[in-house]
Amino acid sequence: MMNYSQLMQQLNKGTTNPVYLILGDQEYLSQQIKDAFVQIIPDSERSMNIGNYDMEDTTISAAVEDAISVPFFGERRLVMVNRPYFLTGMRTKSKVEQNIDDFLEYLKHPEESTIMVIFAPYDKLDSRKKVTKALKKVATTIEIGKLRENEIKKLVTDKINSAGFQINPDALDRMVELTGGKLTSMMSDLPKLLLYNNDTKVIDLESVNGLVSRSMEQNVFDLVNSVLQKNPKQSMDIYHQLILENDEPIRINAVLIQQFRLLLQVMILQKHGYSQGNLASTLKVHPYRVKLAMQTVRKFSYGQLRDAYIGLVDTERQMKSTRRPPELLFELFVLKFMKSVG
Amino acid sequence: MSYQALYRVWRPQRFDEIVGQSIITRTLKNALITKQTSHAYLFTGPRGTGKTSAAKIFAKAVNCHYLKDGEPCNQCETCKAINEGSLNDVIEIDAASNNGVEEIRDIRDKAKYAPTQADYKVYIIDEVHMLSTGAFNALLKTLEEPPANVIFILATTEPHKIPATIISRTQKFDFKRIKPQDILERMEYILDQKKVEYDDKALKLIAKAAEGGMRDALSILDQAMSYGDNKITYENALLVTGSVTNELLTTYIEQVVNKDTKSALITIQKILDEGKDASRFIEDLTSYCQDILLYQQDPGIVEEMELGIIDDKFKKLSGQISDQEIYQIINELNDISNSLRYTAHPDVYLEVLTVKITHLDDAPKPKAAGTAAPQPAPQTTVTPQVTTEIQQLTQEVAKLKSELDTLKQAPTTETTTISTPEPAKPSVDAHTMDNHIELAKIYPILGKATRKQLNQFKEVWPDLMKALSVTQRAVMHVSSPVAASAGGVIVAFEYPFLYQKAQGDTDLKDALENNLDRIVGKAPQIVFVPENQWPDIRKEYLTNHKDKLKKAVSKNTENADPKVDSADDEPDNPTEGDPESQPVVKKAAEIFGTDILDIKDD
Repeated sequence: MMNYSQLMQQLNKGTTNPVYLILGDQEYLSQQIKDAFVQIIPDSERSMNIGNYDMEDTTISAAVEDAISVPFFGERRLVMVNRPYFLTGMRTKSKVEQNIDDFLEYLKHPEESTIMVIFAPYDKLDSRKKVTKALKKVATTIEIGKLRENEIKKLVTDKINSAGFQINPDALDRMVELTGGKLTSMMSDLPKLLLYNNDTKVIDLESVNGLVSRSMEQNVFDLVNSVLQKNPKQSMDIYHQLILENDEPIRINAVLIQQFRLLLQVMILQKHGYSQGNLASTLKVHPYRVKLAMQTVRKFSYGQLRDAYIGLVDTERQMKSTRRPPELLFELFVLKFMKSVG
Repeated sequence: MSYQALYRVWRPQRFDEIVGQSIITRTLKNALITKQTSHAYLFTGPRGTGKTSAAKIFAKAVNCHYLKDGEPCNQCETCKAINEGSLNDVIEIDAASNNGVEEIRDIRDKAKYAPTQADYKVYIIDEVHMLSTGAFNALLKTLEEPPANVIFILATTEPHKIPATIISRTQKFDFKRIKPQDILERMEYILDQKKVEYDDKALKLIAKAAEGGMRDALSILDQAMSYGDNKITYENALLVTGSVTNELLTTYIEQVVNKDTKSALITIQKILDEGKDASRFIEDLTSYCQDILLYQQDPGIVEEMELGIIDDKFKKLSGQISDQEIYQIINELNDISNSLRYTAHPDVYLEVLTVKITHLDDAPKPKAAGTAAPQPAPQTTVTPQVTTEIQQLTQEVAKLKSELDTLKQAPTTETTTISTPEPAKPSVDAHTMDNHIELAKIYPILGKATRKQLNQFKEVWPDLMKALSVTQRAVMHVSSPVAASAGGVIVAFEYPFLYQKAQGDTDLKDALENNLDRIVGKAPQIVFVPENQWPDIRKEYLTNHKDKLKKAVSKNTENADPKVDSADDEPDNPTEGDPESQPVVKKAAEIFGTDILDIKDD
């Protein structure tokens, strides 16, 4: 077991193990790792001594065959295996028949001169499978999937600093918020931010708001928040934005209903003396959501939440049974809600 | 030269001329200045927000040798050639009509060759979301390993249709809708340049109708200009946008509010005579109503959105009309707009609508219920039949009450001074209430109390006592249940100090609840009261809830289950309060305060 930075250190030194398993759905990091591996092979040999295989359209046997052959005019050969779906319990549409036995055979005696890197962009593998067990025994596993928020922030800040820039803390927080904490999208938005702030060398909040594309989920959450914060104008703006992006009105409504139901549940159970932990396990939702809900609930009375919930259900009924435009229905709901809590 | 549409003539030629996207254009300019251009861009955003313009300017700027602060010079030969569309190295493709794999493969093959005249080959692919899956994959391969000196600019209005693999290989810019204010300024600028006279109100209307798209705004402007011989008037703008004049709308709503059916009908006829579309009128009317609602909520919102369309009449109206009425009107409008789809005679429907919404209030509607449920509650009209029924019921209730009175004489033998503490008033009788009695818990139980429940608890009481520990039993020995409902039981204590002791003893309460749960299969809420205060509490409840009780009783008698003895089903509340409900007594209580009042029923 190794982590990302340990691996990068090892690769910079040029020492390698025969088999690596890169586990986790984190495109940016796996691309970085890929590049680092490619660097190991001298430039002149790259066309001959690097193999890149996607398991959803080529066979593992082809990759294994490549791996057992001797490097061509060089010391090492690099074989990269992508999307090895056969390590997981997932079913894919892939029509490629994979002969796992070849792979198992190779894992028993990995070639010394070959570096085989397996990129598994999955949250977890099926550890009951024979092939997974065999691979985990042989390979050096690097988990890149589960990054905590401060790790992500550190990676982003490091990258920004290395370009000679600074980022304001509020801008960084907003960035995490807008991208839903996805490292890959944060990294892909960085060049734009660096360019815009080229004169000041400081990334500020305004540029983040203007340039970082927000994920769909973020929009819906923003909507729920602005409704709960009793801000009719912002709510309607976000709603129009969502509709414009072809989000289903019923889906948006469902997200709202879900949130209000959670608030109601939290409020009622709190009265019965449930604590945050109990609430989370009873309602089977994430403790953090419960914490936020507990904070929100204080601002409202039971009657208000109840009316809002019923109002939303009614809105949904009307969306399905009448031809009234969803925007109008939503607007009416928001106005009623604002009035009742205002 | 043939006439060119405004939006073509005034297509921005420099980044600075792109309205409302300053952050994006600044970024692009910086990229050009620092020579850090990406090999693929994705421009997304609603129509008319400057995507294609930005792409074209970018194509020029990247090839222009006389770059000034990131802006193309528009003077050199390359710039001119690109403007004319004659430069072979800047290729514009409309993906809507070239959406197959073949076309993209063609691009891929040709992209390999170095640019001939300019420095960079620029492919601008418009409406890129129209590409087929196969075409996307072909494009993906090119984007993965881009040839040197080739830049792809993809533009689309529907980014969600673009595969994530493509998005992640491009630099994505989200173009925002242009604010009405920005559109307004740009139109003013253009008209000033063209030396065309214009009406301020007209431009505001157009800016609003454009819904954030500059091209739409300019097209409408174009039409309005051709209507009015190089002068933009408010009337022409109204004609082009097809909206009903605000004045007519305001007048109409005013007439509706004033219940002036006749004038409202005339207004409708006027609107229809002008050739307005009926459903458009309904739409305008709905949005007008919406604006009123919004305005009542927060005037700022409307002012910003409507660009000062608000006049004094609107303000006056929104003060006059209640939101209840508006909700009703909106409901009616909705019904009509549904019916309008299926009719060849929209005017009939509009007239019916007018009559309807001018008569909305004829049904007896509680005016005061401004904050109540916004849906128009079904109005109960009082018919003579109902009245007699009510009379019958009240008589019946009175009879039942007197019956109950006699039944209840036994427990109320204890004669204490009748003091009726009212929880709402600060003058609560202090001496009787020193042991904080949980009235909040008692009232709901009393509200649903039945004799049957009480009997049940009385039956199990000895069993319950046996189940308690010796000390607990000693405390409870002097207690007995005095009222009970399905959800709770009230227990009275003979001696106040024992009551106090029991009240503070949570273990005891737990034990009682647990044992009750075991014996009767449910755990009702248990409330203790001192026996000497019980009659007061009961009576006070009755006086406070008389009206409700009456209703409850009448309901009970209405739905009386023949199998159940009506006495059993009756709320277990002795009513000796008859005199208290008399106006004289009430008045007396108001004047002297309830604590010194001693009512004697002779």
